[in-house]
Amino acid sequence: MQLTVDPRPGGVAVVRLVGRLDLPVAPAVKDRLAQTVASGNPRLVVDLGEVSFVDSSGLGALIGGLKAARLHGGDLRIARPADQARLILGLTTLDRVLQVHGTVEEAVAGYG
Amino acid sequence: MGDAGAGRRRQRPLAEESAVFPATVQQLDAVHAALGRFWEAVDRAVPAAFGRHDRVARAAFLTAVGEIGANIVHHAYPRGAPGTVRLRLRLYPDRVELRFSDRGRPFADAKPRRDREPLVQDADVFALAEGGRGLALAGLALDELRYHRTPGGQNRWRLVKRLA
Repeated sequence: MQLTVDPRPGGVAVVRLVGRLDLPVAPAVKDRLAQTVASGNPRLVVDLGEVSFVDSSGLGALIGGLKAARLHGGDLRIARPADQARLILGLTTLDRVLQVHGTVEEAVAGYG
Repeated sequence: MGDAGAGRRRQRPLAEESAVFPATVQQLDAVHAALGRFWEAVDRAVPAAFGRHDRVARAAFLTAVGEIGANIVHHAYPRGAPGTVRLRLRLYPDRVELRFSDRGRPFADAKPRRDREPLVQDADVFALAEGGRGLALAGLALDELRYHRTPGGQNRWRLVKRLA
């Protein structure tokens, strides 16, 4: 799993993940999301375009990031989920809580 | 396993794949690698085995396989206790099937209580659980999910996704 943070104006950060977002990496991803929020970027866009697999631990990391973001007046939004990520977000009904966007730029623009 | 009827036992798989791997979180790679090889074998035997919903059905099967695999390495063998996990994947005319077996702790002892709670039970973001959804999720993604502890001390899981 690779994780890169791309800060944008207005407290937005695009967090790009590559690989699998699952049990082995979930705690580290949750920490990075919290750090990103704490460093002044509570408006997170998590780019899942290159993520081949998300498990319940990975979802837990995203929920942790969402809580941190909301506590700081921001949000966590998902961009470009692949088939399996879209499926797991739907099965858990987390897609009702996490905004899902087709592109990163659309998600960024949504923050206005 | 007691749930496999005599009729099923006579069926020959159209494709199969197996793996044995150490029961550590890092070795979950082996599960994904085996599933990748299995889908290649399935494509040779029965292209688009799940019909027009093939991609969604494979994503669902992957979801369940990943959850149960993670559950085994996390709960059956906690804190790096030594052990191995065996998995066997098979394509039959009506279904794909994965069986995990291991000699770790019985699942009943390891099962976190919050697994029995609904997946998303509250609109309040701060009330959302950050873990413990795995088993329920696997059940939703599959047509059949069974667990059995043998008298000989083996944990056996059977995951089934029916072809369209």
